[in-house]
Amino acid sequence: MTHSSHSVSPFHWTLMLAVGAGGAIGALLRYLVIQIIPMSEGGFPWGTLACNITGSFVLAYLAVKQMNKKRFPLSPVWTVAIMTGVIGSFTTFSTVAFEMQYLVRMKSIMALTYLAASAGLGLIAALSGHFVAARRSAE
Amino acid sequence: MHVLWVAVGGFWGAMARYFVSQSMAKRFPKGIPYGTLSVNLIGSFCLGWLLGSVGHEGWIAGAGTGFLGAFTTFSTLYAELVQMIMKQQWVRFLLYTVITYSLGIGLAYLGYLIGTT
Repeated sequence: MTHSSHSVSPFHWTLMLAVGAGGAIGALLRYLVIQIIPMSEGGFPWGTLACNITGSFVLAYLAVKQMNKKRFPLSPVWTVAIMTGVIGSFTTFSTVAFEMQYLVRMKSIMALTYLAASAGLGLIAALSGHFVAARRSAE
Repeated sequence: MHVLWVAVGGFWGAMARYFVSQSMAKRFPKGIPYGTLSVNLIGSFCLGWLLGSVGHEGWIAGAGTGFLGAFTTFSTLYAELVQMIMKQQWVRFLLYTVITYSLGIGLAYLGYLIGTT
């Protein structure tokens, strides 16, 4: 691929392949985390929460770094492989939605705890990633 | 063995998400990020259906944890929400959060109901 990245279609096969390869790694890492950090007895999904919160921090951090194209060390292929592929697949929403409807059906108070933790900590993590990157870029 | 299916599913799931997001962003560039919203809602419904109907562990690993896990995303959703906060688009921020969670949970439940019956 040439360096004139703006002329390359987002559907170029090298980009698609890079996203897929990154996605395989991200999904594997998430699977690993869920094996290490299982659900609590009442069904609180600690593993999914851990993946989503760390991933949100890293992606928001990289999104700010990426804006400064001259100082961003990754090529377009590596950028989509890591950001869209690895981080995008490491985090997940479908599992969150399923876990929440499960906790609601069980009439568990943890449904609300999980919603607050997912939405609240997700936002705090992403905002932190954003500001850490913005501060380091300004220095 | 399941590890292999998770990787294969993750490969195709991430690629499909990228394809859908890019296509939707091109077609609907204004308003909330419809690309991320569509993958998250479609994926939530499908995971509900899958976990309601399929008992085979290999399928759940490959199609559920792998494909649908990677097809949907949480980090992109929050990177987009942070952008809305930075631009002080409060209505859009609330709308996007509420639509994603309420429809996502509702569709996962609907999928589960259809899957179990």
